Amino acid sequence: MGERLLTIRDLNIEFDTPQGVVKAVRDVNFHVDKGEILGIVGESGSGKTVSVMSCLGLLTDNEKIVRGEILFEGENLSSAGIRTEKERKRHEQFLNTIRGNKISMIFQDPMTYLNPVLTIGTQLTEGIMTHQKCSKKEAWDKSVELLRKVGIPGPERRMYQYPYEFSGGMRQRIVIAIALSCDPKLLIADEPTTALDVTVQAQILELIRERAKADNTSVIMITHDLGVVASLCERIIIMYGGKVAEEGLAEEIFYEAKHPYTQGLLGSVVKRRQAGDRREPLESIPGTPPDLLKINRGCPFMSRCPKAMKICKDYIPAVTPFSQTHSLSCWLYCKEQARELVERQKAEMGAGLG
Amino acid sequence: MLSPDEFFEPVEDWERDTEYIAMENKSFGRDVWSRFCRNRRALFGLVCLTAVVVLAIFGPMVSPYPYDGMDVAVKNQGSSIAHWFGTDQFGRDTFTRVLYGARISLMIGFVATAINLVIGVLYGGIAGYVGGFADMVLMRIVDIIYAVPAMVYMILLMLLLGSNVYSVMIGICVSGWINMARIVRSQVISLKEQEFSVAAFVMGASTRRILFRHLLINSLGPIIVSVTLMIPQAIFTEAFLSFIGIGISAPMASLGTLAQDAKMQLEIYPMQMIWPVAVICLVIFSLNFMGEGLEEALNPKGKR
Amino acid sequence: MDQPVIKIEDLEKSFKVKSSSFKRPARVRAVNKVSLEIKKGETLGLVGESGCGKSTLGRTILKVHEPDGGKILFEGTDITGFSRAQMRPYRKRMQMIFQDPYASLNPRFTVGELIGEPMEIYDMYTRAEREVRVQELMRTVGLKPDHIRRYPHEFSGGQRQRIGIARTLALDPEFIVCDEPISALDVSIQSQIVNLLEKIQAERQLSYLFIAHDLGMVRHISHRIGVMYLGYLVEVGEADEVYSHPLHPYTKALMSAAPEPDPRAARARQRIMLEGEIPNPLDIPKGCPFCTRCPQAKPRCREERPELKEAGGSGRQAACLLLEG
Repeated sequence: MGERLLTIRDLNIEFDTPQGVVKAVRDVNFHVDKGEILGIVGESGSGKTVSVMSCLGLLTDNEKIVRGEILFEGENLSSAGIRTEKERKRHEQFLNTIRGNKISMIFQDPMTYLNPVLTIGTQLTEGIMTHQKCSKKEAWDKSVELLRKVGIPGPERRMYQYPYEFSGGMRQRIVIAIALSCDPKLLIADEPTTALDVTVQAQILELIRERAKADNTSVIMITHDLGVVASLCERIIIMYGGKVAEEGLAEEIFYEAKHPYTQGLLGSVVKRRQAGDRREPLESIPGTPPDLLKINRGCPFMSRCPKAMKICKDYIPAVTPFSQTHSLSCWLYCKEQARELVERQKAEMGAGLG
Repeated sequence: MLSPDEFFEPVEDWERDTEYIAMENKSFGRDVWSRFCRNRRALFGLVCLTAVVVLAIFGPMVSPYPYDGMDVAVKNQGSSIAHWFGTDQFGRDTFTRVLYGARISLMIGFVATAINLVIGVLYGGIAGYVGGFADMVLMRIVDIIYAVPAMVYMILLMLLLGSNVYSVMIGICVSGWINMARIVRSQVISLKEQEFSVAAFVMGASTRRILFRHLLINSLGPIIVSVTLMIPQAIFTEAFLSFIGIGISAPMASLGTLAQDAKMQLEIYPMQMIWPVAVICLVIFSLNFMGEGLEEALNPKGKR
Repeated sequence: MDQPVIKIEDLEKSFKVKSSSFKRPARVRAVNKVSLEIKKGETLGLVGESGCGKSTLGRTILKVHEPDGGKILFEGTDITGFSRAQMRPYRKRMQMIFQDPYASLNPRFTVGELIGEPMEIYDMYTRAEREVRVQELMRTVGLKPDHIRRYPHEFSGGQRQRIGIARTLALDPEFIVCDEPISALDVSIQSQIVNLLEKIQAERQLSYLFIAHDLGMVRHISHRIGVMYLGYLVEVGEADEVYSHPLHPYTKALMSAAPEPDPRAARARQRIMLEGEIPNPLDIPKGCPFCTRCPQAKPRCREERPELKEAGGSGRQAACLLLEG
């Protein structure tokens, strides 16, 4: 096991909405090692993006970290427990030294990240000059080098162009160049290829892998596409309904999945090898993803789970480890704890009656 | 409470309810209304406006004084039990006249807006939906109408038709619908590209059905908001015309003419001016508050 | 011989684009001389990258866009030049399912009104009968009939897509254009929708034109597959054949670039990495549209435009000069 870079412990995030409080992330724990590529897979509303955004303090006003620690190289990035305005300002300043410097991001739509009225050169050098004390000349040279590294032909000329002069895939390359400009320790990629075409997607994924390996940068890849994580990630976290459902090495998730949700998810994508059985219906998960406004007390997957038991309705399953790297949270695999719970309940009931 | 013995039994199908919907079942109208009610200022505006409208309709009927009944014995009086707002230079009861004036002003406001609404929605809707060359021609016509200041149309109409309620109304309508037409047109153009109107087309819906049932119904928000802003504008225009003496002529009275009448004696009897002006202000404020409240209720930011 | 439900010949569609107010408007050729046919009960999958004209093709067949050239035959009747009034009886029989379940349902209608609308348009049944029919359709697509008075924004994406499918089925069509019906949905919901579409097809002998960019799903649902590039149909054939032995270099690259949800296979696989991106459709290369990115392009490819021709047997067609030898 490698050295820990980021550790998230017991993270809880809530949204304030006009309809009520949404518990978007509940008791989430995970970590990223140095130089590792981690995939976080989940559907919309599973809390995958929010839990990672919170590391950068990129939450909107109505979203807040209620509880939990985010340890990055030993420093806590979590804003939980901050009450006063002064503390908040200091925390924000502290995050500014990390954001775009030690941790940087790639977004789904590069146009929201690039400023349309500034040239690529300006945008690249700006970031470098803010975080690294260097002259404009040095920053410029470094930017040209970066553009070359991300595979943009004729970088010297391209530095003077505006974002609209580039195609979608090229823009995403530029965003990657900006993200890499300060030699970050951690690169967060939020669905970086969803908006791109298949052939371009393959190019961008290859680029991310190549750069991460070359600079020993850790990557968190947030996606809903199992195909993307299969080829890229070493370790995978599956999230559902604001909780981690299963976590493990790519091989463990793809070939030894234990959680009924992961199994259902894998079953519902079509594998390339399956030929001839086209007319067989696909495996599918019935029902719809949970509405986090009114989620039941127990396991969030209960209502769609083919193996649901009565205990799943009222009690959240504990995390059960399978190997050093593989763990999941499902009552099917922690019958021991369940039995303890039964005993305790019985004792309480007995006491109540007696 | 579940008994521990049942813990490992499979869940019954009815307990799952995979098609469960957490959201409340609320129609668009009810949703907007409940959000409107949460806005205190808008609600205040609605209450005030309703009060003024009710008084303007029924007040003159129950008042013991006719709006044009002169009584030289009681001219230029201050407020009293008999005359709540006092009397004017001819001894007419100011309260009755203000209510009567409010009735005329509100009528002009509502009727002119209704006419503008119908013309604007149809014109803009057709221009936006048909598009192409027809749209170009229709919008150039609009540009030409709009190029001449509205005041010129009004003054010309007064000269042609005389100073009365109808000429004021027509005057307001000549160019008043143009803003509405432009709003509706741009709404329709953007909604026309939406998949639900393509869906209606593929189903074989008629143009009329697509325009009214799909496009205009979804433009309702901006239309309502602009209506609540058009009414005060019309009232204001009428008051202004009457105040400068080319609006409605005596003995008919609108809030504007009342203010105009009081102008002569402003220094001696300021109250005669203040009452009608206060009512104009109240009506316009109420409508603006309501417009603001509706706008917020129709386009909530926090909505998912 | 079975008559195809839909047959198109040399269909063309282009759009005007204004680049600046002084230049003459240029034309983007979105669909170029595309010919294909779909038999009864068959699904033709249409794949390609964004901007390849696959959605435009689907909409042109339904005459949402008026075609600029070529022919559309619906069960042998040429409907190309039909007016809106003439189209009316045919509209009932050819329908469409949309990509975005949020935008394709009028937000002011209840579910009952949405699904009932097509029947209302054709004045079918009485009001009460319609309501019964709507509830029946809701059950068919797995929605609860009690939700008939609900509004679309109260449902999840997958549920909305099922509302859209129920609405399409209300008219008992014979041919449905599915325009990326699963792209906007979560993975676990996509398979639900695909299964539903297959179930309905088996029950009603429907024909689908299934447009998507998810290659795995297209392979699963389609009997035959067409591959489009820059408005041209470059390859057509049996689904499994096209996947296992692609003929056209573009198809080969597309198949190898598709993300595979299987780490071992993904690592073992040889990928054909294409250089660059799709050219601007305003400025399609003179020869083969794919020649700028094709790893096997010969000088001849830059000069001559290949036609879609029989290649490799079993009714397969491809448009590539290299295959012609």
